[in-house]
Amino acid sequence: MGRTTTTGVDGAISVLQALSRADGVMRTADCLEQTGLPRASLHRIAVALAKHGLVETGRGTLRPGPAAAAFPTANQRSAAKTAGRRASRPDTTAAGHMQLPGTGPLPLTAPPRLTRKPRFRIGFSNASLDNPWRTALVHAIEYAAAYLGDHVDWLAVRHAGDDAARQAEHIDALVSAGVDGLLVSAAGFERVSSAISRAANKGVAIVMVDRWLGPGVPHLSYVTSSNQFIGATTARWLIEQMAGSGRIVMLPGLQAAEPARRRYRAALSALARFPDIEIVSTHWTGWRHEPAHAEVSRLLARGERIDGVWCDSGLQGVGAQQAFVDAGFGSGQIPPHTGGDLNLAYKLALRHDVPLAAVDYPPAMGRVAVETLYAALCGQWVCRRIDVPSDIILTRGSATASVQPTLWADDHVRWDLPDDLILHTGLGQSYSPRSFRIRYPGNSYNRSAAQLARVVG
Amino acid sequence: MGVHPTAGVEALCDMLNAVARCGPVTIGELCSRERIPRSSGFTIARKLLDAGFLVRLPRGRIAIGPQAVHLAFARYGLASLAGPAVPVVQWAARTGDAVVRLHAGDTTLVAAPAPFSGPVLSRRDIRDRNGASVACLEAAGTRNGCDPVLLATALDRAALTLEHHLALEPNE
Repeated sequence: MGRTTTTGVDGAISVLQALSRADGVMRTADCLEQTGLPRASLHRIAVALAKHGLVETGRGTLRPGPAAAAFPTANQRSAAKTAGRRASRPDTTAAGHMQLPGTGPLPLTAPPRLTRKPRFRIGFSNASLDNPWRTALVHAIEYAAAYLGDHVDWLAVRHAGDDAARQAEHIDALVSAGVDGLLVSAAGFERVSSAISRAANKGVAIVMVDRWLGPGVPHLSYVTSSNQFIGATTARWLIEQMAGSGRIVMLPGLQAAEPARRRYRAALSALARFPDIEIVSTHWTGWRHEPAHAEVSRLLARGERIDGVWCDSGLQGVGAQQAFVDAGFGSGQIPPHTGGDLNLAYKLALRHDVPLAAVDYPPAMGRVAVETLYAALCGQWVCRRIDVPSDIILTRGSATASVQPTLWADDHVRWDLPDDLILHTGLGQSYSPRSFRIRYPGNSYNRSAAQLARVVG
Repeated sequence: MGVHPTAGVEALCDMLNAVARCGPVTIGELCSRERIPRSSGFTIARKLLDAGFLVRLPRGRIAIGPQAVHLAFARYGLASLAGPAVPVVQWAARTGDAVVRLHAGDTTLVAAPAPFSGPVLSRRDIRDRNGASVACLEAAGTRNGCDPVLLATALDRAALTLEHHLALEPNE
């Protein structure tokens, strides 16, 4: 029986492989030639396969059968069952507004040639942990790794403190430790791109998240949210709030970070069409509230008139809003601001009646990045670039002709949660950065890597 | 004993169909369920794993592999879409905030998020290089509701991408 089984099974597998390659109906003569089977054996095997619906036989032809058609949805069904069992898992990455998709075929990446393993080792090289958004990104990544459960051998997270040399060392160390896949939020170009290239050459699958290094640096996918959309939409809203003329302060984020530069360029490009808008000051804040507070306070102390403040995030926007409050501006007297992300930005705007527009940069992209990396490690194709959708959030009464909200700020704000909460994390309604606990292969005592870094730091 | 000369092939078919029907399962469970001798079952499973018709999961489970998925697409002459279909359908679902599926013949080949349900809101044919319709993309709404313009544009681009891959020569 052993010999018969071996021969028949090998023959059946070679028939199925030949049918896969043929892509549709295949002549029996071609199948005989490709498999090298004797005619009688092919006939016996085809009859057995046809009996089970794996093959359809015709006059001198073979074709994959109806039972084979059920294969693609089999894994999707089991994944859906798992998702159903974990119904509490929020899926906010699917919600939100997205700009109209571009044109032309979507760029896709074919899977790398990897050895299929049941469990994967995943590394996350994080640019830094210097603001609440980056903590939320780490939490989203850990959450996704925890959800993958025993498909992950371990997850290791390293924070580079915005030091490219340190990040390159981290990437080399993670590769030496045997990672199969690497998530990178890049702190700098040259050293980091070299480290990524070295990792890719060793067969490590790379997915960039949040900050990338351009198309020339090897990666399978780049997961982000449209920074161009954030910059352009908020600037357009500010222009329309000011009826096309007035004096504004520009407070972009971290100059070294590509997302901040992209948002700033998009905002400048929108403003350039309005010669009556004067930029009083441009000050890079590093996404910290202190520089924004200091700059606005300095301008107000000098007696400058400010009709609007453009910030690419509420991380620094709260500093600007607070500076107006500290300077004695009452409720309804503070000029329009832009920039969300941070719970406090919405709280301040609603408390002091500040017209506010924001498009959050969703940390939920961390979860999508892990899922994309996992898909690639499993041998699936992935999109070369993934834009995680986000909402346009406005305070009530501040909608303009071309910028309408998909979410009102008072519906978005979380009065019951801490000021440093980042919204759009995809971690559910009860997520709080202060009480976040997670268990995944690679951490201990249910502590987040962000929490550990702060303790060690 | 009169062993049927295709007993191994019968066992292979039973195993593939059972994994497709029941989802991830251990080889031991599969052998018990399908009444296949364990030694034969493990031998056949190893061959199917090596050929990519099955994949190994944690805790000793096996599931349908990429080669089996490829075979399903080949039934409809869509083998070149076996890889691109999943990310494209997922992209369309995420962008259009809808449930999207790729449908050929009477079979749903890919759905995101699975399973596909609800009335079809929008539909795009996938045409081969001769202009014949070989499959279609269909979208149904989600609880959040969706923007019909955004959904139509997303389906258009997804269909364009799939047609692009369908038109590529196998070695491109």
